[in-house]
Amino acid sequence: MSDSTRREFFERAGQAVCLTTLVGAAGLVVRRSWALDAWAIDPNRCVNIRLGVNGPQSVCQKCAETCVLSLSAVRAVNDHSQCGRCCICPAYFDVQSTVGPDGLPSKKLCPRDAIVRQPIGEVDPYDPLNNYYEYLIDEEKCNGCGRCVMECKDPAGLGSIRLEVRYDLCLRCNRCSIAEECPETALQRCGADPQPRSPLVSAHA
Amino acid sequence: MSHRCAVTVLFLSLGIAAYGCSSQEIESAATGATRAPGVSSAPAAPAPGVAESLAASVQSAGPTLSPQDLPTPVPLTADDWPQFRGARRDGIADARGLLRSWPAEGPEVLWQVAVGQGYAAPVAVDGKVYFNDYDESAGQWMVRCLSLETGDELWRYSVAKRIRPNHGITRTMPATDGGFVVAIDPKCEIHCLDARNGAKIWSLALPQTFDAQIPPWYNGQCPLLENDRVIVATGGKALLVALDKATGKVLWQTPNEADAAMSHSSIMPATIDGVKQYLYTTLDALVGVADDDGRLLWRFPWKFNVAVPTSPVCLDDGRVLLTSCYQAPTGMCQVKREGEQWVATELYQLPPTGWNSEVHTPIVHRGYLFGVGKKRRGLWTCLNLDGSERWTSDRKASFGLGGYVLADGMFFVLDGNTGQLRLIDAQADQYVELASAKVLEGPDAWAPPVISRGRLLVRDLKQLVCLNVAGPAAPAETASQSAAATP
Repeated sequence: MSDSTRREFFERAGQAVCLTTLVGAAGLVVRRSWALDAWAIDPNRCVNIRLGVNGPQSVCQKCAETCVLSLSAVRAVNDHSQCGRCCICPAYFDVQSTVGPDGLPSKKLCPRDAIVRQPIGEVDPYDPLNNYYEYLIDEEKCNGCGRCVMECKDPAGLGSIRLEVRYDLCLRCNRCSIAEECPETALQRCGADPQPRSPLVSAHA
Repeated sequence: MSHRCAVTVLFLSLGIAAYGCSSQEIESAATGATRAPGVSSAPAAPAPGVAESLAASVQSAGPTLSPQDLPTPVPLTADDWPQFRGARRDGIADARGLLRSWPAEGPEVLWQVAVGQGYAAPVAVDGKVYFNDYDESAGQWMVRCLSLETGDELWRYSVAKRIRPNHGITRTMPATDGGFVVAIDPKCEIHCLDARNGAKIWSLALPQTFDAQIPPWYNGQCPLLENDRVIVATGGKALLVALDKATGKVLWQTPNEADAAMSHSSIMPATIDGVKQYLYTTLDALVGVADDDGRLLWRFPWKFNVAVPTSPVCLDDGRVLLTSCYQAPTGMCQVKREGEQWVATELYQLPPTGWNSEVHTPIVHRGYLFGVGKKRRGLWTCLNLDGSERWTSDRKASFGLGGYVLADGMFFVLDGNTGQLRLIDAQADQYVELASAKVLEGPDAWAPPVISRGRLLVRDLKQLVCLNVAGPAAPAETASQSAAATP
């Protein structure tokens, strides 16, 4: 092979490597900018979920208020396997409202009436305050305000109700508006294929 | 069940009465005390005719035992822990010479027994341990008596009663004077037993007798046994009632004009301006009831939320501390007599972000309040009597809803989440931990610890454990010879 041919070979090989690198880098940038990443709430950061923060005055409503969707992609979900099925659920009732003659608080907590309370199992009419109830969240109403989540955790609740990003609703914006407003940076990218939610540190058993 | 119209009330009342009669018969038939095999013989069972008396109506539940058949109370000593929060109901044990440090594995475990899920702490008198329990497989509520020394079961009293777990099942302590044992089951029936053998002396179902409503999460009230009387809150037709210890007959009852429901609070005896009275918290007030005839002396409105598991703490000068769960405010009121009138006025109310105790009643020591607050997952906190915080265990330890007791200048405090027992210096002006060990598996080690004869009794949802916390220089015999406690 002559010197000129060899030089041309190395020049073209170098060009090919550079081009490949540029294309790859551009692909990564494009991929990120095309917003394929999902977002998830870190339960140990979110003040509504995090243990040790209590009281209605502590509720953060950024998820409900700042999502680009008219009804936030963040919703409350109830893990029924962890629910205590209490007659008086502090996430369903406004426990600060006056207790009526039936022994139940007179007001509900959810401002959108998004939690449905249904008796389950045996109902003892002579002991009505110790029957079991199932709490279902109406996703057509829930806007992820987090009030129920704040109440359903230690010490009064078992932490069965969480705030979660609903991946089927989330638009996967590259710059999530909730993440930008979250005071605790609780919303974090979790990749194109979200992993199961991380456990809550020292969660109530 | 929602609001009731008059017809519904009538219907339900009849229904409850009918149900009560039938269930009473069933339970009486199914009731019995069994003595553990191998246990030395106890004194004789109640005289013939008791069983027939037990089948009487709930209003006249008292049998006609002759005086010589009734058990005799034992003289209480400083080593006894006869009822909720001890002999004086102040959460302070008179024990001395306890260990001030432990090896890494904790105090020596003397014995442990399996218990049904719940938070029911024991009482201990005269070397015997009494506690409420529930056998889910058999559907039987029980009062069990164990030897404090060995943990061997001496007897158990069982009643067929269907109780579904609702954040645990058992959550209250009996009261005993060593002769009588009085316990309230989760469905609010009072059982008075013979401490010698567990035989039933009388029982009284509060829902049927007083149209009382069983509270959510079941009964949380510990009975007050005082001399020859049992004092309990009922709700329904009465607010408080005094029952004859020997017969269960109503001695007096306080009219329930405000239609208050039974709360989870326990009655606290107090003497204010020279007048003996009983303090009790309903969902919307603190009340004072006269000791002699049960008349309502005064009522101090205070809004609690949903439940009041704590009990009022009365200071020597008539100030009463109120604190509770579900963001109810903590506050203090002053109760005093002006002529023939009683006056209760608010001294302060802490803001919603202020300190409160979710479950346990604080302990007053050295002029300060001590207890586990709700903040940061339950910080051990020392407060001034004006409600301001002096110091906490922040960044050192948290306790969830764990219980505590004060003895020999030390607080024994359980981490309700993990079962870690921490020994805290009660004389220090800051959080000083003397020792720590994981003594229970947890979770939900919420029952208050009990100290008797140098033994520490703690429990979680599954086990009752007896630990040896007696120091080598102060054997149990020495402690037991100290001044007698106030019965």
